[in-house]
Amino acid sequence: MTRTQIVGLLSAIFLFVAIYFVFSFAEIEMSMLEVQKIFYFHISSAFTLFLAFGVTFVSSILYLIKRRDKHDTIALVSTEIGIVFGVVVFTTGPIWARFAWNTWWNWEPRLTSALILWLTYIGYLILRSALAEEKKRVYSAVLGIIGFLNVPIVYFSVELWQGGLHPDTSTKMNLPPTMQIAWLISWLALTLLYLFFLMFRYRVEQMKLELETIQHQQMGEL
Amino acid sequence: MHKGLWITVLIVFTLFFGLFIFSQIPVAITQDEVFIAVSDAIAETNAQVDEMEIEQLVTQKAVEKLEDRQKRRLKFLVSAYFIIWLIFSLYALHLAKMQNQLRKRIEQLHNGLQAKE
Repeated sequence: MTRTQIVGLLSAIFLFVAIYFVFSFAEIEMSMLEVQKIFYFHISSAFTLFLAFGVTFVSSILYLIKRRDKHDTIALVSTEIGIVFGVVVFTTGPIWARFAWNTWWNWEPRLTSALILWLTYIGYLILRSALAEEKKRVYSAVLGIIGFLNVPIVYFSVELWQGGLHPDTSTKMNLPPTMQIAWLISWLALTLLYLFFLMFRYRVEQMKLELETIQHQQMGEL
Repeated sequence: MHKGLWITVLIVFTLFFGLFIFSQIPVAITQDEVFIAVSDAIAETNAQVDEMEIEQLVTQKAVEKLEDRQKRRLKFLVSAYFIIWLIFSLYALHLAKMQNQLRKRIEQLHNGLQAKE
């Protein structure tokens, strides 16, 4: 069994455990009732998105310092996975919002700053596909670093701009213990899933490079 | 690996979906909800009959309202979890497909090189 498969299996087990904890262990929140259970995977996905973009940030810095392809590849795959987690955040969020606030979307600080963050990293991928090989690595690394500066803004947006619909950052620490445990397990499960995707996607990227090398060899022979 | 991943995704999906479908979400109805449902039901019941019948009609109507509200909440919950799982499965399958295509292409090129040699 490869390391990727082990991490994949672990993430599947933890996801299963997380589902159990969310639906059978965590108590029901009395204002939103069953709908509140969206919270566990919505918030965990948002935190995993921060983690993914954090990895992009660190790898981009390392790439600019050391100029190793490995760091550029990690930044690329982590961005892609972060965007996938972003899709989860931006689809479960409106479902929650429709029930809680009677609207699918609201241009409040947390939502707006999070959307900007997500779009910045989509821009990262567009930039990579638009530029030539040499330029794209350096430019996208710079964007990967700049984009991450928005993460603390997203996180503290509720405190920075009053009057938003999201609760402040301390709310999750004041949850009842059963909810906190369920949330932490969900977060751990999604972090493992992120790790699995990262290793899997990294391997795919390596195979792309391998293919390009063989193609170059063939071209050379011709 | 490719076949294995498909099977893993399928198994996990079945487990998730099974657990989700069969997990019994405890019915949690707040006092406020009952008051609102009962007062709504009273307003909607054109009571021109005796008290006993009014009580039965109001109770029946209130239960229907509470059930409808819970159905609505579950619809939101099921949609959210279904979407979460769908997104992750689609991405995993996309990666598996990409890996499989690359592997095939690499094998073809290797075979082509060997044949030339």
